[in-house]
Amino acid sequence: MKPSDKRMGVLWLLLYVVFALAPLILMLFGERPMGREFIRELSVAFGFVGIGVMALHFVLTARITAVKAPYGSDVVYHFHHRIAFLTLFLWLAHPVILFIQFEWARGLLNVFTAPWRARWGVFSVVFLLGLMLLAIWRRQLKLEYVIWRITHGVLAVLAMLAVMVHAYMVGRYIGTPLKQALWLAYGAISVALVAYLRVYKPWQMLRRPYRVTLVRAEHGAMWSLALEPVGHAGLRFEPGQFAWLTARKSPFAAHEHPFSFSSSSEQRGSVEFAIKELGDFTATIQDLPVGLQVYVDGPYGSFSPDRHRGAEQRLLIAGGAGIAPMMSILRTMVDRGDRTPVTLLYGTQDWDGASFGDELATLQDKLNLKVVHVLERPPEGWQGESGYVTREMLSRYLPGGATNLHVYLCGPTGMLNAVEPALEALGVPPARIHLERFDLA
Amino acid sequence: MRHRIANWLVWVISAVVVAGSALVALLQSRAG
Repeated sequence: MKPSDKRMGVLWLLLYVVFALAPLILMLFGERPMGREFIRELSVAFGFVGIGVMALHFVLTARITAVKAPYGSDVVYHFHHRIAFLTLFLWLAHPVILFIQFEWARGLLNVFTAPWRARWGVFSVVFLLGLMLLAIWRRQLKLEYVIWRITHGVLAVLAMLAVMVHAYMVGRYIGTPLKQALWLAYGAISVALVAYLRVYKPWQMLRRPYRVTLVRAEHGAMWSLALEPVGHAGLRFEPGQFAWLTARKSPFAAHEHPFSFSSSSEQRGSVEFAIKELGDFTATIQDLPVGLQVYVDGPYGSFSPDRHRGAEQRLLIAGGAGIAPMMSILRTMVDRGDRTPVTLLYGTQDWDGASFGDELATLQDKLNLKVVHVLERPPEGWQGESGYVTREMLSRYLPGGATNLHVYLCGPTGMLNAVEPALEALGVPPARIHLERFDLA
Repeated sequence: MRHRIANWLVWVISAVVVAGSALVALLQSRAG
């Protein structure tokens, strides 16, 4: 990690805590109403801080490169998923405390008879609950990814707007113009971030389209998709990064999917993705006609050797579709004449499932590279590694002695969860283990 | 590792938020 990334990482974290707590602290400043029972004030405090934490979700998911760079996109999304439970707890605790403690409060649940200030509160909780339930059970409900994403965004905005209206109509603790202005800023920034992501960014993508120049079948149900910029210079990325791809739809339709670049970052203009058939959209890649206009939003991610320049040795561990960013890393190393020793452990179900086999063999001649195929179901007479990537297997490929080794790990969640602790148990410092998870949703 | 740190941060932030809420509620409940 770059020193500037570390500093920014700490700064963003501090700002997160400040903005989460700001609504709470504001309660104590300026004109304050008479105090009431502790439990009632606790309910109000949970409500206020809940709005602050909710507003910050919009920052976490707005694809602001500066915010994501110090941690990596997958970690920011992971944090977003986990802190969502705190948000739900605060939003539920606010009314539940009142319902338990005060009989009059229970009547506010009836949206037909309750005053509008309470109705908006109920609406906001219903929106947030719906959003959370759909996020947790999306797969069980067989909800299409794109439909879910749109629903997720709409419910988040509705929940935020409803809770702001609720807070305004209740009016307690937001009596002064300064407090009102600050509350308005929380709401406005949340909506502005959604507009940035769903209006400004798509507009930028529309102005900088790409054209499909090649769709090539690789082994292992993988497709290489090459794009060239139309009317602009293209984008610069670091090997290992990813971008959001929109094909056959307008960028405004939010029908986009994240894929790792597989081409060399030294290649100017055109870019290439390696896309494995894993779902509805990826199964249609083979049908994309050459010449089709598509849109790219990126680059994103911090999974890149460019961020760890002092590495004396690299170990790349890929599972299935995780080979895509590794191809970008290796192809970039060739273009740069980088002779840093590198080992690739590439896990697939069987030999037919291994993509880029011929090219990897060629790359061994151009780089200081050792490729190790790990087959879950090896063919008869297979002399190489088989089964899963285990601690015992890893120990055979880790260099001995105190070398500045960096490990890059990309593959299915189960593989990452097994390999990361195995590497740590073998003495690889956690700060030198870099992961890329596919599942951002 | 980074995910474990993120999990740990979620717990710390949750504790700070709940404790902060309780403190503010206590101060406000005593406001004249």
